Amino acid sequence: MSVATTPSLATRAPGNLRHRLLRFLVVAGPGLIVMVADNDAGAVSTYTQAGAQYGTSLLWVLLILLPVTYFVQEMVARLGIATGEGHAAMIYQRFGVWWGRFALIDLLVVNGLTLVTEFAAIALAARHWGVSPALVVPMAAVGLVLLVGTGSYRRWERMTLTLCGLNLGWLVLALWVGPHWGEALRDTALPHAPASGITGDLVFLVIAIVGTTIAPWQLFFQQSCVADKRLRFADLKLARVDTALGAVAVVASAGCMMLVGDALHRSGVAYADPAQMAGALAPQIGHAGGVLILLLMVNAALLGATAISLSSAWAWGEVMGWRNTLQAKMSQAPGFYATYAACAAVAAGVTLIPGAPLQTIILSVQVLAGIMLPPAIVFLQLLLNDREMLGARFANRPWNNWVNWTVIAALFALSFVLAAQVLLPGMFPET
Amino acid sequence: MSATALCKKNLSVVHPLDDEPEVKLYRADLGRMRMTRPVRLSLFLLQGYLACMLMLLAWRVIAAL
Repeated sequence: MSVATTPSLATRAPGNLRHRLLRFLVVAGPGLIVMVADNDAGAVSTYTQAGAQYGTSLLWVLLILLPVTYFVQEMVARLGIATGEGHAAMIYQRFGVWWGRFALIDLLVVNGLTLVTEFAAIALAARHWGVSPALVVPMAAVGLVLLVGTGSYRRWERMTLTLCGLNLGWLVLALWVGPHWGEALRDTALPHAPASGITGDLVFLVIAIVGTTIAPWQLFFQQSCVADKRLRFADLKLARVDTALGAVAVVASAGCMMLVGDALHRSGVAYADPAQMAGALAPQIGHAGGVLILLLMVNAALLGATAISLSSAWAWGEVMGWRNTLQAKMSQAPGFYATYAACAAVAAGVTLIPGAPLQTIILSVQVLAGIMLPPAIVFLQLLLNDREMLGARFANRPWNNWVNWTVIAALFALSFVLAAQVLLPGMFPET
Repeated sequence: MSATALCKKNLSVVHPLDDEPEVKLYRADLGRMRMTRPVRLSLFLLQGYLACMLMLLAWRVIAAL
């Protein structure tokens, strides 16, 4: 990398409100995208199911996850700005080849399975509309490749932020179904178990919510995205604001999804999947509302698919030493774009295999993501304590470490509960 | 550069992609992380955790057969 001879222009920008806003607008993107893309098709399914099964009584889990997701992603943004390198590259360089390969393979496997769930959601919506998935799924895969292949990071970011903006539709839907606000507010503020008590299903669902809200690919994605955007040291404060806004957006839309699921809960209809829910809610929100639910699910799947494929392509490119930037045209970074396209193509292909075990894949994603998240965060925590590299300015402060080790301990505990549940299926009572 | 031009430049907001590249804190010659006791302990516990999860997976596979 060439050496700057003058301080970054960003450091010399004056401090009036208009300038701060403009500076925020040029810095914002990675934090918002990573958070909103986290509400992918699997998340739509998990949150609406949580609402449909337990009403609003799990909203408090989201409130707890709000600071957790912010603290984790803030560390990633800080590391990306300080080093200018992606997460996979950092693990390879600082922990050696063995851990580097472990982190990369782990990422690629979980990402591959998650991608299949994104395309499965698109296929589900297509079937509901009476369109052949064999037509829609490949079209979605091609669309995803075209989205990144413009040779301009800024163009990709603008298009992706537009998709993120469509997520506001969940707020419209939540208002549309007419939730019981008093109950929802109480359930958000007061942590408690649902009336049915602590069952195996509930424990699994809570772990799925945690695994959905904080996923390993997010760490890799945001750091590489920050590095690709070339955010500067002086951008750190605004990158934090970007991440905080994203955290609020992801938790708010997750809450809205739960409220939509709660409408099904109140109507007494059993939940099967978001498409069935869209049909079952027709008496309350009409046909248009049902269509909106499916459109939002497809939007979530597309957002998730582009972010997850990019996290794989960036990570693989970093390890292979390829040119891996959205600023490059396809001909200038063939390996990077080929990896991205291969991720989308393979996942779309698996979705279209007749009789593919999609339900097993969806279940495996939640379990694997839950198991692989704690190791990913341990690497992050160790890297953020690497004072030899980061110095005092960017390394974790003691309070950061207290918060993060607490989060890590909680995640390990949840993983062990998940493991215990697999080993001893009767540990928790059934519903 | 004239004072006016400098002032104009200072008032502008520069996109990171249009700005001059910064010297970042990571250097290739840093090599691997120093294996202090907390780092060694963390990696050791991580290996233990992964071994547990692998055994769990093996258990599930054997039970399914």
